[in-house]
Amino acid sequence: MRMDAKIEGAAAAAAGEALSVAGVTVRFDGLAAISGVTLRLAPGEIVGLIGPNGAGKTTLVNVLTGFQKPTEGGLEIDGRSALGWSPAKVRRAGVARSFQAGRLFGKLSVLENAQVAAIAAGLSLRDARARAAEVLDRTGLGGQLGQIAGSLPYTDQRRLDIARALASRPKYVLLDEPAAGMSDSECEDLMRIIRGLPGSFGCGVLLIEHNMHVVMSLSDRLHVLDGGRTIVTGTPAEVQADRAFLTAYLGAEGVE
Amino acid sequence: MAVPANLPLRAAGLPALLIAGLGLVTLPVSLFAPPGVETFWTEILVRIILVTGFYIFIGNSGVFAFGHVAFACVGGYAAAWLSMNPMFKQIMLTGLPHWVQTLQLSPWAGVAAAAVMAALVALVVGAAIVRLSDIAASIATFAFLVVVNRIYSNWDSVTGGVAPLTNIPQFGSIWPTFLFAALALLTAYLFQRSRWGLMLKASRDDDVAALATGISVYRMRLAAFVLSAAVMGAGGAVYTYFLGILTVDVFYMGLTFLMLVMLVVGGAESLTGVVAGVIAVSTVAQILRLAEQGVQIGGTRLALPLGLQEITLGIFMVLVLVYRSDGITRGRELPLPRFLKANADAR
Repeated sequence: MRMDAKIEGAAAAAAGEALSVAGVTVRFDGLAAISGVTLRLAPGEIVGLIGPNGAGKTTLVNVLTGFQKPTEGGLEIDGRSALGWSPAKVRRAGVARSFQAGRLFGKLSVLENAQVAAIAAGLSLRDARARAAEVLDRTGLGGQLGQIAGSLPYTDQRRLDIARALASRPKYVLLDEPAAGMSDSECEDLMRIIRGLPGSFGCGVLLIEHNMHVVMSLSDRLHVLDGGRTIVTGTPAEVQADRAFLTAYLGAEGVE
Repeated sequence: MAVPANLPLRAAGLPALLIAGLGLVTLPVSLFAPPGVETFWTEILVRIILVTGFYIFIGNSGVFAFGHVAFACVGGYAAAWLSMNPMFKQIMLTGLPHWVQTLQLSPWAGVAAAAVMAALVALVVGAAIVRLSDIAASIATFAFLVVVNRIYSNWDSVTGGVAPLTNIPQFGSIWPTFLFAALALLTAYLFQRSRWGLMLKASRDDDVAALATGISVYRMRLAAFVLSAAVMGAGGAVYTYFLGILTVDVFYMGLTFLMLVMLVVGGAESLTGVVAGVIAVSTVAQILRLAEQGVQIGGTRLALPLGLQEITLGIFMVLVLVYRSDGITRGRELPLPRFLKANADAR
């Protein structure tokens, strides 16, 4: 199933379908958070975005989702420039995200959290409800539809955040540290869900993650940021062998 | 997953229950109660309309708007302009256009017109106000209340200034007021269960995530603002037709304070809280009002000092905020009886 999606994904990429930034720079008060970053995400692939704290990962995600207007550079969704679009408009064009801090709709039920995302994508109350139930079922929350989101245990909140992102059938989904704070067994569970996303939803996944085990085993390609600049891109194997990557992660002494 | 048929009437279990409860009190009141009690209960029904108006915006958006009584003022005067005896209008309100001066609509049409007028004002004002962040929006709505009060107090040729307007027809029965209260509750309920209501509630819980979910927070807030203003406008008109007399200061700080106490005490995030808050606070306020009037025992008159009513209500609100910050209903709705619950859950 995943292979099919990959082939579809490759076809889509050939047809110019992708979420991409080119030469993006974001400056806050003259200080560059990211500079000259170019990244491309096609439907059907999983791209890992890694880098030490302060490398500019979240800024890049904010640019990709319309929350941050870049100082320089371009943002394109499927060949159309999306520069200056509102977050809501970017979302309707097919780019969804999850949040580091969860940011659920705390007083709504689990079902309503996912339902409202489908409604915002233009579905009727009833169709949205059906789709939400389906997505929640696939992310393992099917048994807790009526529960108030704010009362869920931590790991379920992370899963609901992902389910909510998926409920609008996005073409691209950006997951911001989904495994943060999870135990090993909870990680395995989450990895199974993420690995299945391109196959079951046909979407491209940009995975921002500190957990190296998770990122290395899920990603087709990696994009490493440090100090706001791209230092390496390539397959997990290529990146792990790269000197710049090792320096960024282990420090200069670690390489000696 | 099977989704059972979703007939609006079957899904409307909660307002049906609240309305039935209110009707159950209204019936004996209309048949047997002395005029004082009937007035007390009618006032409760009017307040339910007004607090529901507050609730539609505050409860769903989470933005505390202090100025909604201004829309009741707009509605109240619209009702007076349209329904007052034309003779008095031509003498007192010389600034009104001639066609309004000669008009005398029934209270029913007056309430509808008041709702429309308040909604139009809200559309213009709201377009600016709901763009603001939470605290700024709250302050702006308060400023709006002051502006409306000043205009209506001083535009003598159109509003009669601070002088009371009289010769306004009355409903003559408690039932029209009951009907409008029921309508307000139903409107609020249908809105909070609609697509727009759900999107607005999502933005209340987290506006950043709502934007990331593709929700236009601005549009949802504006919709709720206009709808709540329409309900407030209707409430102001119903109040005016209940009193038969209109003064501008009826719709100002005092009423705002009372409405907010009711909303906070009942629980700003449930419709059940609206009804519970209005009844609880009205009852306490009524007891205190009677105590301020005092009782005659023999030759001496025992009475509480004037002003104690507001002080006690203030303390009441603080106590509720300290011990039950989400109101006496804890933001929850009335538990439905089983035969209704099955349908409501299956939305």
